[in-house]
Amino acid sequence: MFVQAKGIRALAGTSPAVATLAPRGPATAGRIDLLQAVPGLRWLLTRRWFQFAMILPNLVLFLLFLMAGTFGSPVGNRNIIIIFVWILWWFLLISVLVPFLSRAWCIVCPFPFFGEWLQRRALVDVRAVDPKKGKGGPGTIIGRNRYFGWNLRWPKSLTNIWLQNIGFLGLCTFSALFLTRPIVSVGILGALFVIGTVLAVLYRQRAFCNYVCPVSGFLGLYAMASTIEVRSKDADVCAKCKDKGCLAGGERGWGCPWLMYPSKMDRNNYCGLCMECLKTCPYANMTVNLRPFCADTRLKGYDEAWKAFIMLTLALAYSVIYLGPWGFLKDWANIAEKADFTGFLIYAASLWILALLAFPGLYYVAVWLGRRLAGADIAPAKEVFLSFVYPLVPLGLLAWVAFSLPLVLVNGSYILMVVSDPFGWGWDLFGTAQIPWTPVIPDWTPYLQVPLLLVGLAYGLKTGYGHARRLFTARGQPVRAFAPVSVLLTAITVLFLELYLG
Amino acid sequence: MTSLKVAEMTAVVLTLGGVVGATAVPFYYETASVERQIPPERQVITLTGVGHDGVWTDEEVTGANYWRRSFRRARPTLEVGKRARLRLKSADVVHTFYLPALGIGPVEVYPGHVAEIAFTPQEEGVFEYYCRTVCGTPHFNMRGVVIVGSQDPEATAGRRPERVEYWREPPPPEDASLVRRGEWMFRQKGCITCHGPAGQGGVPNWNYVKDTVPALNTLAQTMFLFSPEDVNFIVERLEHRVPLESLEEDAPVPRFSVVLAQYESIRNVIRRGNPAGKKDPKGPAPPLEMPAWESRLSDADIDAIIAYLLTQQRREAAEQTGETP
Repeated sequence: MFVQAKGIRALAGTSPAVATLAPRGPATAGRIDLLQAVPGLRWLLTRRWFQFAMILPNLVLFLLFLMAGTFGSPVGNRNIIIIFVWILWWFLLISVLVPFLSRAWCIVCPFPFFGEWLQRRALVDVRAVDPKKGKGGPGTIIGRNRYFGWNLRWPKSLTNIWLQNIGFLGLCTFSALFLTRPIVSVGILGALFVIGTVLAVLYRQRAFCNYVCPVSGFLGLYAMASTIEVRSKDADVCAKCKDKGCLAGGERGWGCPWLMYPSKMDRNNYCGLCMECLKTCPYANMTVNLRPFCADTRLKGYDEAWKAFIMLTLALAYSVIYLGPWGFLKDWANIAEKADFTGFLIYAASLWILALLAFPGLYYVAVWLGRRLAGADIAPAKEVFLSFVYPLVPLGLLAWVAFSLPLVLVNGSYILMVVSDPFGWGWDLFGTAQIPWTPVIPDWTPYLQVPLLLVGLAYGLKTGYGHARRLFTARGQPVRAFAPVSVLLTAITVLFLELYLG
Repeated sequence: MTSLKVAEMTAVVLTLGGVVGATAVPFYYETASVERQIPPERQVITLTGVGHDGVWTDEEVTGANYWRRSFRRARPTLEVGKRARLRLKSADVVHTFYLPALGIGPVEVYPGHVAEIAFTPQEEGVFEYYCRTVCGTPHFNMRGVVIVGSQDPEATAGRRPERVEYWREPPPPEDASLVRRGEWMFRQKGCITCHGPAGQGGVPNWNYVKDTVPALNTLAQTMFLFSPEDVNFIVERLEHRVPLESLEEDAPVPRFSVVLAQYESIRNVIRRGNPAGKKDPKGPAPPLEMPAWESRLSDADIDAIIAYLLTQQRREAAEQTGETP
């Protein structure tokens, strides 16, 4: 199969990510160029084997998880797949990787590994081709790289994260099932491997990661708050660049697998930190910056806004179900054990209605009320709504950290157990298999959760008010416009505090 | 060959090695470690307690098959005089393995741990094993036999409990009679496994003072209810939730105070349980004991079971004569 190679300019023009990007230069205020500050880091990140070396151990580990889930103990707390994936991995992801290292998980994520291998027919190598001379031969030439598989374009109507939103909400509805049954977790992780591989064979580059992977959706949203970013150093260099290697690829590396235009990237949402742009940039103009928390503050569509609603709703629902004292709710959610179908239906319907309708509806009313109080219709309603939804990013992220903290503190001793006995077969590899279940500082957990939530609220109020000042310029307007939303954000925080301290 | 080609080939080899390693090494390690521990002259029996089935099984129980199938009850066969090693695992909750006739246990078996016991069977026979921790509704089904030698198990195992998946029996309709509900409860809660079908008893209980678990189909006699009318009177009152104590003054049943005392005594045994007395005081504890049902049966449930058992003698008599009970 051979498809006529597109010109690089045309490639840039048709890239969905580029189409949505505002043509603005990268912000550099408050940034520290890590590639300059950390000796050897640029060398490391620009090695062709870098990402492979990061993924391989993780791939082996996840295959081991799949084996343990399939052939190991059916008891959740004795099987590494449950303890490592849903307790350790989740905690590290939401509490460490996302806030501090953006989408660093995507560097090591094993799910698209086999698909990308088939797509590139290379693990570390690059298949570079001159589009003018390299016609013919197997595969498809995109930019200056040759790819294999069908290389279809992802349907335009699905170039958003709605699939990820629905997929994640759907998955989380059955959380009680996969949190307790290893084989269900095998099904989920196995499905991610299969879907990631199939989509890579059918569609261009990281279609799976961009539009389908349920984890990727919330990673993208919360990566906006992260303290690192990949950006261009000098916009002028990019503007004068004829090579556009970051987009089109070349001998040094692949064109951005995430279909981004790295030189104009101004948000973290869809950057998987694969570091290909660092390799392909002929001027070494791409870098990794350390930056302040919550530096990206613009949501660009309702799909992203609804992701924020879904995530905060789930954090609240899980706090109620798994940390709250209402046993009947846990029974409702636990359909497999309790088989209470009516209860499960009530639980699932409530969750979906709350996440997709009730909470967004309430938020819409608060935004509408703010605009009325401000007495101004200067800014477009959509922009105001999206801007005022942004505070849910820091608040949601910190709420998830607050929820995940007791899970790892209470169940952390299981991590030591399953390290020594990953399959629950009675091994004791490191002498820790017999450690009794020991919750760590359970009495102190609320004192850690409270500051986390307050930090989330503070950042939410700060960024929201920043948007209000940008959108409503007359004296007193920003305060009035943001007042209802700030009350709602505070009420949500109080609700969480009530749950955790109650 | 360029360095990138070398790196690519190395990456492919590492990937394939990683995939094969992740899938094969655990099984190799498990097999090798078990074989390393156990001298070849020993017989090795691995039994896994499965709570949702109420069995000790010799089949492999994994995350993949645990939820979707039932497991075979193990009937291990051993040779006399040959050293054996019993490896006990749990697939779900804490079980307690007990094989009193061979002096094994009770051994608590935790999920994710392997309890190992080495022993040498000295005589031929068929020996019952049990679970001694109430591990779920099917717990009372969690019994089986170890055969030493080549004896016919059916000839020596004594009276076997009825093999029914009692815990899966659907409840009777809402308007079912008290006796019908009691019958369902007697089966569904597992009373049937020790007290036998319809409470006929006869299930052997190792080193128990009466040798077998007591029959309950003579409960009417135990309660001093000797006529069908007396039984009917009590069952009807229980059906209508009339406290029997309130009838003490004008009950038409002879020696009603004795009936009442027996009724209270039986209720208390069901509520609080009853340890099984040892036949040989120096021998092992009998494996089957009456557990306390206080937290699992309401007073109404207990009355339903009593009502059902009270009618059994009459029913059996009617069945023998061909009459309708």
